[in-house]
Amino acid sequence: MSGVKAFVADFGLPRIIIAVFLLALFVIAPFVGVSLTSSFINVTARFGMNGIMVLAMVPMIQSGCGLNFGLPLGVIAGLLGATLGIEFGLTGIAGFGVATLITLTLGAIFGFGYGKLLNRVKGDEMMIATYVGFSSVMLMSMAWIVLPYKSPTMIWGFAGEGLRTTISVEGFWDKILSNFLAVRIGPEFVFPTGMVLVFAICVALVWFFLHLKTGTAMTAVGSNPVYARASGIDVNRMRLVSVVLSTMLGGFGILVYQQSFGFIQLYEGPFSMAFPAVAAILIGGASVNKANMVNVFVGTFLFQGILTMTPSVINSVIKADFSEVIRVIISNGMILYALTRKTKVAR
Amino acid sequence: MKNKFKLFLIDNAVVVVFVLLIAIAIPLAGMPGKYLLQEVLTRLGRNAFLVLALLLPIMAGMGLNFGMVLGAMAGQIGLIFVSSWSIRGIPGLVLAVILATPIAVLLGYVCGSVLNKAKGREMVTGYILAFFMNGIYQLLVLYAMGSLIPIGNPELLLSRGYGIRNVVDLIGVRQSLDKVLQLTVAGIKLPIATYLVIAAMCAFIVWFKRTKLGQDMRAVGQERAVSLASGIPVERTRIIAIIISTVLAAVGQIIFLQNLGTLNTYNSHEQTGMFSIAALLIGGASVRKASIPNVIVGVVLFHLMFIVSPMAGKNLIGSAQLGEFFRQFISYGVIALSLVLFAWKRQANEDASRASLRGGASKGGAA
Amino acid sequence: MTKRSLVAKSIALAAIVALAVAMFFVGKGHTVYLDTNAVTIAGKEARAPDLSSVVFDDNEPEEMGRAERVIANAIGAKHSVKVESLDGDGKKAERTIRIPTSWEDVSISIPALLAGAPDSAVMTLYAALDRVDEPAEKTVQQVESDVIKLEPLTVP
Repeated sequence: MSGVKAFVADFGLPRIIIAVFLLALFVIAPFVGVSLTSSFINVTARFGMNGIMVLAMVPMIQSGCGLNFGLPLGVIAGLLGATLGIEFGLTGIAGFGVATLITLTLGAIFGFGYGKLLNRVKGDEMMIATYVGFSSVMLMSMAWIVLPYKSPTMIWGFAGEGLRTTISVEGFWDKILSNFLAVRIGPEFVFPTGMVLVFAICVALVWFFLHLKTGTAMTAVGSNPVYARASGIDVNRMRLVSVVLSTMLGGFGILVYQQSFGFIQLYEGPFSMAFPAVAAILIGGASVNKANMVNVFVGTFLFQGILTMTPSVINSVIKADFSEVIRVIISNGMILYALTRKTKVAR
Repeated sequence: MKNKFKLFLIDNAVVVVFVLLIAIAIPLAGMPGKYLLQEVLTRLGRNAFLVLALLLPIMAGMGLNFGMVLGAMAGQIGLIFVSSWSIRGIPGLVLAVILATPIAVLLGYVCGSVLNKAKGREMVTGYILAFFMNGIYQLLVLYAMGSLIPIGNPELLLSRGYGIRNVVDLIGVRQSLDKVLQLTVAGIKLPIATYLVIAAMCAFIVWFKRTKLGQDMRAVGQERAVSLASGIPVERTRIIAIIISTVLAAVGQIIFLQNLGTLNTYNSHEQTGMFSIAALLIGGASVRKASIPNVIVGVVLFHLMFIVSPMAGKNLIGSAQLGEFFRQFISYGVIALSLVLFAWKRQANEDASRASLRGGASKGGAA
Repeated sequence: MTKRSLVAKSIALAAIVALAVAMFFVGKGHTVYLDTNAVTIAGKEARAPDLSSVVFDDNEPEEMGRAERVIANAIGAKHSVKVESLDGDGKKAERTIRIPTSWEDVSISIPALLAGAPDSAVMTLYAALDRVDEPAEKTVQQVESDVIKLEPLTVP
């Protein structure tokens, strides 16, 4: 029995509650007329869509920079890549490829500056990350209005200034990854093989990187900075690398998201990208300074599962839409839980 | 002399940058001076109390109290009941305060306890806690009120029969405090009663700092280890600081809403936290140090910027939307800048002392 | 907690609760409808003058014709109503009424007031009413309403 107790203490009661909750939702679903197939389709799609952004959390957690509330910076890199790709009129895999290249480059540049900043403010990273992220989104919002984009699909119609709030990628690279090697299971279910494959490849790459010399150094910095420095590791450089990696992954993550979602969301869109990713990685079992690949998979699945299942199931049971409120309580509650736990770090 | 000036600039960088920005924006906006003056004086009365609520937690070393949003929620719940029962005027406000206070105390206690569990990360935790409580607030106000909690006045409820409407017209208590003693000087309306309440609050804070509890708080804020050794109950003192702050935020929100006359049930409190903190920082406060002049200067500057940005943006680029974004950019940016300046300075000091300990240049200091 | 401080805290708490209750009663708002529709009291019909001047509390005097309703806002329980007929027949009436706190909307019947009817006939819980009576030539407002049946209401 003590084994179970230890497991509960280690895994965390809130996570267990969430997992059980999700299971219950799946079980109840068919009884209240919610199609399990369509639920599964949705969850799978969202799993692939959001996974890479959750993955983006890992490097910075491992290097001790905390939860990356500044993910909007990476998202902005992705938005710039996507819009520029469309501006150049490129479609298909070429378009997506160019967008990716631009995103990764910008992501690296943004991440570099951001990382330099974070190195000067150790200990307050999370709060600063949040507000630097917000300020950047607002700065970009001004930019979207002013930048000289010309593509007719993107700018406001009649008398508007600048880019539209939501830009459709249909005709460009909509579902380019999702449809790649897509497998049709049954009449409704099209499994987005390409997207999930890309997600898996990214996870594998990050895992591989973390086991290389640089990666292990990064982890050492996060879990025991004094020891790391004593071993001759350049702490600042490792943190910088983690921030750059995180930002680039965030940028690519939003590209993958957009190709599945079908739309680019500018202006205040990036605001809502950081918190779900943070909540997801924490739900998956990560702490403020330790995260692994299992956390990414489990967390994304659980979180997106709850997001998908709660509205449909609960609406069928009680004629009330609790889903938004439940989402807020669960994601923020999870983050709270992580922030108030004693960290197992030798300081 | 030149060095002193430079030091002054760096220490007050935020205020200086801001004053420069406003100096540019005001002529750009082209708004009449009298209108600006009236607006600033009105907003001072409306917001100053809320910003005052932030002072105690800073003194106690807990940073910017994003959890003041919880107090705002408590105040709003009080006002919802008062509106439902049609209690008007000053009695309505007093009743709202009496109703809100126990809720604020409870929420403050929860907030303080949670923050105590997250030492070193108080600000982020408070920030997230505010969002979390927002969810609980919505559960209460959007679902329980009208269904589980009886609300006498059906006009307050949504068309589906339960849950409070998005916009509640506070006609009963509208301007109640402001109008009690309203002077009109040279065509400008001054809510004297409100100013008196704010002045009383300032006096209270000054007096409080001299009491034993106040001194304890200051000790806890400056050096936790030392105060523990001196027998000060650190945890309890911190919680009390948060509780007081939350109650003040509740009262402040009630003052805020009586001036506006309209309650945006699901939005008013969210902005309260951000705007109050931004105002305080613009006034020259930092994460560790804040005083009453910071409050007044901050509210004036912040709201000046708030009023002129849309017009300035419109006149400069031709888009009022741009001015709107600019205003938000400045609000967030100021908080970011203040946080960065504070943390940068602190780390620079730490690195310097560590270097001197080691007797040489340090390589990439660890926290 | 010492016994003395416990007593002190209980007294303080009781004082606050008392204050809250007091505020409730002092601040309770009511919407008052000054009504010049004709009413039937104890079998007899009472009509309002063609034109009358009605003063509620410290407000400006309202000129009302027949079968009209004017809204006044009332805070608290005690209020004064003054009516003066402008028809030249010199009829006047003045009364101080206490509105029950539990009533939200109140209707004050001007004809009943002029007829000297008891409070229970003058002040009633507001309900949507029919217009009873023809308005005189000079009217200020027209208000839709249902049939009124005035019964002596007991004050709850």
